Amino acid sequence: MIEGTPVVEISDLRRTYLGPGGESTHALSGVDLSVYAGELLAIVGPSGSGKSTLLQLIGCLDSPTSGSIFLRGRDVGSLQEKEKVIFRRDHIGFVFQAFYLVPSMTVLENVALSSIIRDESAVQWRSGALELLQRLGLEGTAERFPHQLSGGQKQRVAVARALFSKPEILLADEPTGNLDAANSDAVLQLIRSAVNRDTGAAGVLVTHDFHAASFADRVIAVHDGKLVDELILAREALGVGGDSEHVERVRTWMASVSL
Amino acid sequence: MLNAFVRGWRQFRFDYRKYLAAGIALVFGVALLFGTLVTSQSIGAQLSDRVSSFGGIGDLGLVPTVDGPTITMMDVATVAALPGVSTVIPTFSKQTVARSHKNGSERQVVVTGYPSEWNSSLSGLYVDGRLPDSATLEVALPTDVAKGLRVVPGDVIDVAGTQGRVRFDVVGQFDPGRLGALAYDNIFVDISTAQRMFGAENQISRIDIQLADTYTANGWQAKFGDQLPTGMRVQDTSAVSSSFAPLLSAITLVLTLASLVTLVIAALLAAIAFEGIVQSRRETYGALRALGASAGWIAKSVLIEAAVLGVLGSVLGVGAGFAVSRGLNVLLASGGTLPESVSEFHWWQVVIGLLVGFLASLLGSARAVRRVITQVPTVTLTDFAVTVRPRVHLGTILGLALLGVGLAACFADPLMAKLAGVLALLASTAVLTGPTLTVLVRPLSFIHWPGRVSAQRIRRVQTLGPTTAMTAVVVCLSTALVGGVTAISSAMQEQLGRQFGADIQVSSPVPLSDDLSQRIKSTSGVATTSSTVWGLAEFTGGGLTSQVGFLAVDPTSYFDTAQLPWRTGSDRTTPDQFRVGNTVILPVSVVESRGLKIGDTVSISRAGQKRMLEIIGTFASLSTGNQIIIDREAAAFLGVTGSNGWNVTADPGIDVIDLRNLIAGKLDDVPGVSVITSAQMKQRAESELGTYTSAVFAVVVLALLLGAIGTAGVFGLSVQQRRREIGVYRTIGASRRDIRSLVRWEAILIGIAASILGLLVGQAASILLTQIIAASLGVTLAVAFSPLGLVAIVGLAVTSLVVAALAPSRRASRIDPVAALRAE
Repeated sequence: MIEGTPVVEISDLRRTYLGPGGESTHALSGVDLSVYAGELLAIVGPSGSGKSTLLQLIGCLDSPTSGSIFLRGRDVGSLQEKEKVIFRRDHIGFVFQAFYLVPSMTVLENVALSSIIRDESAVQWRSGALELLQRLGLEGTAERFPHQLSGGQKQRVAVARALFSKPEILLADEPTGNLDAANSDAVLQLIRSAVNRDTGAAGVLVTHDFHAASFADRVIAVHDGKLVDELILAREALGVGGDSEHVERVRTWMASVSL
Repeated sequence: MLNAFVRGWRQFRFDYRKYLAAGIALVFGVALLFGTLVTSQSIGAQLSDRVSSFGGIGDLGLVPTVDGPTITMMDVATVAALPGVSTVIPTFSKQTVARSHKNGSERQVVVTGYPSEWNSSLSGLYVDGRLPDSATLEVALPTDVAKGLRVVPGDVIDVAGTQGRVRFDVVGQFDPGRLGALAYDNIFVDISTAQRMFGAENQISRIDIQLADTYTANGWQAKFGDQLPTGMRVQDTSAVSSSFAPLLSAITLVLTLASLVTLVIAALLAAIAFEGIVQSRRETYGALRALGASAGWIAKSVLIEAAVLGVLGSVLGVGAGFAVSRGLNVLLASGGTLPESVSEFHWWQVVIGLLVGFLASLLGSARAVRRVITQVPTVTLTDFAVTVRPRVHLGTILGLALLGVGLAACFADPLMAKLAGVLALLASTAVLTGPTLTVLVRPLSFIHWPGRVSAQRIRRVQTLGPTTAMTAVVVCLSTALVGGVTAISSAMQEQLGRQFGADIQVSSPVPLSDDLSQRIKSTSGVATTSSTVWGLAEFTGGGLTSQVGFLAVDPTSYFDTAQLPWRTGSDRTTPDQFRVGNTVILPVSVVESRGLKIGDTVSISRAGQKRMLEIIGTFASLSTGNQIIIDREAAAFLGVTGSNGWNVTADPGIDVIDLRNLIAGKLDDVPGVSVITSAQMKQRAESELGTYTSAVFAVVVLALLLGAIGTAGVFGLSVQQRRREIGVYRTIGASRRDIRSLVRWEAILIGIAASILGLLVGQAASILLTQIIAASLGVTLAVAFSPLGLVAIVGLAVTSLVVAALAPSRRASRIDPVAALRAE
């Protein structure tokens, strides 16, 4: 189990939505959670369990109804919209299921998007983005546009975009949902290589796939907006996961919590 | 086909809001076109009725030939004695101004004196009141004049005569339609009264004859026409309509052009709407294609939507066209030149209105339909709705070719070639939009990132092509129009400054006697007075004979008060030559159209008198048309005496405004007399030109407004399509303000690109338009530029696009990233 400085600290987090008829939907009903530097936490659960809501709250894309969220020691739940924007820009990286690459930008520009919106010039970000693409085996795609890439390539570019700004918190929402097994593994290994003790970044991975969850250091189950169980996949040396032992442990555990 | 119609109709009902801008423009364009057709046809028919009923009293009208003697009572007796003539009705008419004594309203009228003993024969004419008695100062007015002067029987009007004001009692009013053309604008008095008030005793200007039952008008003319006294001819009724025809044609042409421009804009707006709608349905179409629907099957429903839009827009447009026609009738008749008519439509006008609107809508949908047909299904199924396109080189070549044609037309002679050149330039503007966006809107490193990203997107994606094209065409056309108006304005201001150099100019609707001239000369503070008189005569030169207007001036004083805008001649030498006598100064348009030159001899004739004159100078006249300049002695020889214009210079130190008021007070009793200072005259001319400039800018604003409505729709659709992209920006750390800037920068950048392209090509179009106007007016115009006007056009264009982007940009900034990125 990884210990140390919690990068993400959540206490009694609740999120309630009001429906058109005035009825309340409790997406989260009091969640307590911590994620440590270097740790990759997987959140599993059925559709509608609240796992994506939890991810959005951690990512400052939404505000909690009650409870607290501390990111790097800062209470982000009470931040104003503008402050959240800046925090996201400076500290958080996102990977989505549907890639969401900007269609009118080249692969290189998509990777360096966080620098572009910081008004940095191409001279400043170009070489760094190229290097990152090279590391990800995508150096030949730099001047292509998203519609010219395969699904696996698109997701790797999306991961590169999330990693380019060297975020302290990496959030991934079903990153392998649209990929085949081989591409899924490649993307998960990328995420794993960015979230470990050496980098010090913390990562939260939302998935319904036990194979993807096996790459994490710890897996929590969410059901009806509550944390119901936790599985620790302790590793002596943090490296890539996905080995058969971990996969089997996660599968068995998920079955036991009826997920 | 029925299924396609049902599909298209359903789609139209679902998305009708997106067609709003195009629909509005379509309705407006069709309404204007239909209204123009109905109005011009109605006025033309009314004019024909007037012409055909010109001989309201008699079967034929006899009038003097321009170069013949005035008809006298002796001639009346001669005509009365001709075979087949049962009755003769002599009349005397003169154009002047009438003023209501009650409320001061003034109106141009024609005083027509007729033998009052004919009153009993005219008893069938409905009269509210009665007709004037013989040798009295009584007048009967047609209802159009009575309405214009706001008088009724029992009121008093003053009419300008040669000796000044003549006061008449209004004793009756009647429906002018009963008398045909003879009655409109004509006020009826006893003939002796009319002759006396204009110093034309014993003169007749027209004889109406009634023929015996055995003769038709044409038959009598064929048999006895050559027996008419010398200097008399049967009135050519077609001359009446031909005198109005140019004005009516010009107005019809302008209105038709305006409506066609509006319809072109409507087609472009429809193109924008259909483009966006087809884009927004990409995934639906992709799914349908994947299920087995053919491209043609999908395209049919789009065409049906276009047809529905076209039909609805056209029907509403035709309906609104009746109101437009009514408005045009009132507007055109208010000038007093054209008659007010009742709008009666014909089936062919309805068909044209419906067809033109229908075609505009179909044309607008063409590009979108082509996209649906040619795009491979897989492209439509990508999760983003935008496809990055390569540059279109063919468009660049075509656009440059059209530009070349337009520029070449600047050096061509035929007017039609220049007109074609203007159209080619407008077309090139639209076609070159794509390359312009590519070249001009490069990523700009010195602006904030939303601007750079917007520039990049515009350059690569080109979905804003139609919007930019429309804006560029409007800017190009506006630049050309402003250039043309500026050229005319500059020329007129220069000419006014030189040609009317007196301190005060006085003018009268009728030539006044020397007694009245003396009133002006005797006014304290007047240094010099140079009197003029204008009239009509027959001019023969270069083998051609036609009627011209002449201005007869006093050679000893005229050039002290006015300097002509000489083309050949000068202030130093030509006035001295003029004083010698038997000379004439001609406008350049007359000289060039007849192949004349300095030293040639021409002739001028009127009232049976003919004078040979030597050409000693030419001038470029914009404000005076084809008017030639002769001396007072020649005019007197031709039977034109009195004065109806005076150029007055003030004594040194005299306040010109005070002097003006003094003179005006002395002539206050004469209706229609105008006394203005040179500054006021220039101001008046500038104000008239300002009206034209305002009209041009009104057209520009209207076109840009329509474009902005359509553009707002385009941006709105774009924001909708880019929801996820915007969600990504927000997630990564873009603020709401950044997102607003993203949309607004697109508007600014395409506005700048369109303006630059439109301005550049518009300069060439301005040169062509100036040449066309100069050739039409028969004058020389220098190409002029109005920097202020161009700045205003660019400002309006960019502002209209930015305003159009305001609401969509706000909507974009409010997009919740969570909702936008929620997997579907």
